[in-house]
Amino acid sequence: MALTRDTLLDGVRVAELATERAGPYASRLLASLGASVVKVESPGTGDPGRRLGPFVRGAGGKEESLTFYYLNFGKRGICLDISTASGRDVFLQLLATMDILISDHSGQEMQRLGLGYAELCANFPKLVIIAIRPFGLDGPWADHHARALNIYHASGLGYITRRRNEQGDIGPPMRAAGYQADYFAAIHGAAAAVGGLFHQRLSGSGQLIELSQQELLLALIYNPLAYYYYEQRVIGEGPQPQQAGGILPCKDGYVLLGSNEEHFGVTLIDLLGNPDWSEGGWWKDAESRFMNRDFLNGKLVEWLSELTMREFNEVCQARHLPVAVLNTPKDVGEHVQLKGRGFFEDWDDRDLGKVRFPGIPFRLSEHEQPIGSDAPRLGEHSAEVLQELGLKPSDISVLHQRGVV
Amino acid sequence: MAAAGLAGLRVADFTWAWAGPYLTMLLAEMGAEVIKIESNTRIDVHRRVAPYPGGKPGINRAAGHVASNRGKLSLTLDLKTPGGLELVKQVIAVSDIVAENFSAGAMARLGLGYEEVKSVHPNIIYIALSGYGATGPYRSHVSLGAQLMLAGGLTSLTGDPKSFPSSIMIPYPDPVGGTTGALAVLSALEARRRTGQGCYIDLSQLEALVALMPEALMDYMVNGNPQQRSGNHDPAMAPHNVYPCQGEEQWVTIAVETDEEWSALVTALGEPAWAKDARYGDGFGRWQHQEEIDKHIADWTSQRAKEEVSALLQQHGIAATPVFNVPDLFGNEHLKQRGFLKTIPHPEEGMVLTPGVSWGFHKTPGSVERTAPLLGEHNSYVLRDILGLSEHEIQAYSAAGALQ
Repeated sequence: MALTRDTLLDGVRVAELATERAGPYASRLLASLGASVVKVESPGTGDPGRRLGPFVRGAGGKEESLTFYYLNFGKRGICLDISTASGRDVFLQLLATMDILISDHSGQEMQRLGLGYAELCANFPKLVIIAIRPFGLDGPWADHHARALNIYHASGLGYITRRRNEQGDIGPPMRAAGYQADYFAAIHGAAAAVGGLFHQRLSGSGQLIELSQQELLLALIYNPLAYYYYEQRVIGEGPQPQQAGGILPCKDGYVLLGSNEEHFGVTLIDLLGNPDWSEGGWWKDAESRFMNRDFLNGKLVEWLSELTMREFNEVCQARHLPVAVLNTPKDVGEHVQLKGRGFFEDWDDRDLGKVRFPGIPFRLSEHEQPIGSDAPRLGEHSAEVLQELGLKPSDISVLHQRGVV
Repeated sequence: MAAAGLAGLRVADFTWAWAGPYLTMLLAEMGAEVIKIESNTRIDVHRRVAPYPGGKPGINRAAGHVASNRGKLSLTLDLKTPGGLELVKQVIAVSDIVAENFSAGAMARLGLGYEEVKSVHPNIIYIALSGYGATGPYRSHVSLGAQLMLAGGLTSLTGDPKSFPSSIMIPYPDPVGGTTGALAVLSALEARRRTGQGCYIDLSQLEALVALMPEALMDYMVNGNPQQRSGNHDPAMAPHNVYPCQGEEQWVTIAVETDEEWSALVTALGEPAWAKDARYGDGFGRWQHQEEIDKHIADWTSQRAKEEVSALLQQHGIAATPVFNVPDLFGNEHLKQRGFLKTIPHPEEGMVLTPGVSWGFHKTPGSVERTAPLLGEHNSYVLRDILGLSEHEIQAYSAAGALQ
């Protein structure tokens, strides 16, 4: 991997034994801060993440997963059948050269592979091991199967993500867009890995660090939890009815207007040009705004129909009103702020051509960000990595013939 | 207990609300000494958000304050007084990290921008978490978590496709920005250990959120395909939904991806005739006809308890779990055995509730045993024991209004 001088994680070596999103995104974050990451996949099928949509069609006509590309950009990839004795030996040789292992396997799965976590800690006392699991490594659900949808709803967040429909009915608990249970845990996994690494560099001692995706999410609803614990009240069945405002249509989309605070109402009426109907200031009273919300929203919609989302945002921001426009993926992809900060990464893949994806969410004053490299093709770096471990070409070809590599 | 991983490191913490405090909470869990700097005239907004233990409001025991400021120290300083500014620079001089999440430019106006701080402490690690980032046309825009969910596209993609878009009722972008910030700070610490060089980190909470929604965004940016919200459905997996169970408001989630999982599900359901439909023979067929499949599965689940459905399907290797509401979370045996929801002593209010440590470091576990600080609780500790000021000096600063 071509690195510029002086990235944050220069010289840090990471092995990844994980699939789909949570584990791979954790090590992807480390790669994008300069760590050298080796992704270990099963021969033949590889990471099922290679088959996650959306896809892009390369010049050769072959479809490749964009999701996989994002999750594995900047890594090297090897194929290794760690369920065989010789495959496991090679994996252990690889671990001996590593600072960090990112895993998404349960304790039982690792045991079955002859790679039990306790054993790895004993054999590699300097290694920092991250185990990201839906429900952690211990407890009755340690081996439960769960995807992002299951974890999100097992954390209590589903009840505070739904809202009433146009008829006023409340639907089933709702998940937030995408795979938040995986990504949210992945950033924690990456942060824990670097925290563990920092401790290891100072003390010489590595350790096992486990993350429960469920616990990370449920910790976020401390207020609903506390309401129930302190007052036996269950709150949060979708957003409360607003006095006026909410998500309303404008000339080219939707905007969010909150109006529960008086100064917000004053500024809004001012923006509307203090029309005749607003005389007397009756709308300053919260109850009046609630009782007359259809009337007020009608007036707001009339005003908004002349404004684009962008104009609305500029007008309100000039008055320091906390507002927002309802951005679709298209709006986000064309966002002047994101583009202005150079957030999106434009990469020219050798087969796929131009690929664009979200970059790193922060800028650094004194350190470089790595240049990156194509997401690895299945087994692309097997020979290279094995040679670095000191295996002779003849050994590698034997492993290859036996289907281990 | 073994010393936690960041023992010996100190954070001058100017953050408030949730994004920044979540970041410094993670550092405190790892053992860093976090000095939360507030003033009596402008205390952390989370000290004033209900609920409170015993239903009694109080700035030292709001649930959000306990949950995100546990394990930190509290120092009150009026940064608009010369004495307050002097003292805060002394705190920074003995700290490793400065963290703030004001609107872009606010710290510079206080005389505490990166360049000024660097002149006090040349290898400081300084992180600014603003809504949109410190540069770019939106740098001074007002932003809160609720707004960023719309701005970042999360809201337009969340909710029932036949109804309104929906948001998460909590400002989810805050902990996303906070965790991303913790990753940046920890990486900067590792770089400083190696090179001696500190740095300034300009984090955009909007970018941190957008980075967690790559699928729909890349589909547009690369393929020009505008994805729409799909409720609990998935763009590829089916069945993938929330299904009603016996009782009122009882639900279970089921997510099936492969042919093997589908046939395991059919077995678990007792090989019903409807499931043998040839159209459901492959993943794409199941996805195309998922509304029908959902109805059949709902008929089956609605006659059973959510725990029963989940336990049976788990035995067949299927990703199925109950949908938990808040009372369920307190009652769940798995969470009980792990002991994640804890009560800890509080000087004003007996025991208070807090989530456990965010992660399990097996050798340096950290702890949440010390509750969030009373306002100004550690003024004397910080000024006398850390900065080495005499009682006389402290009183002079206090008389000049610096400790307000």
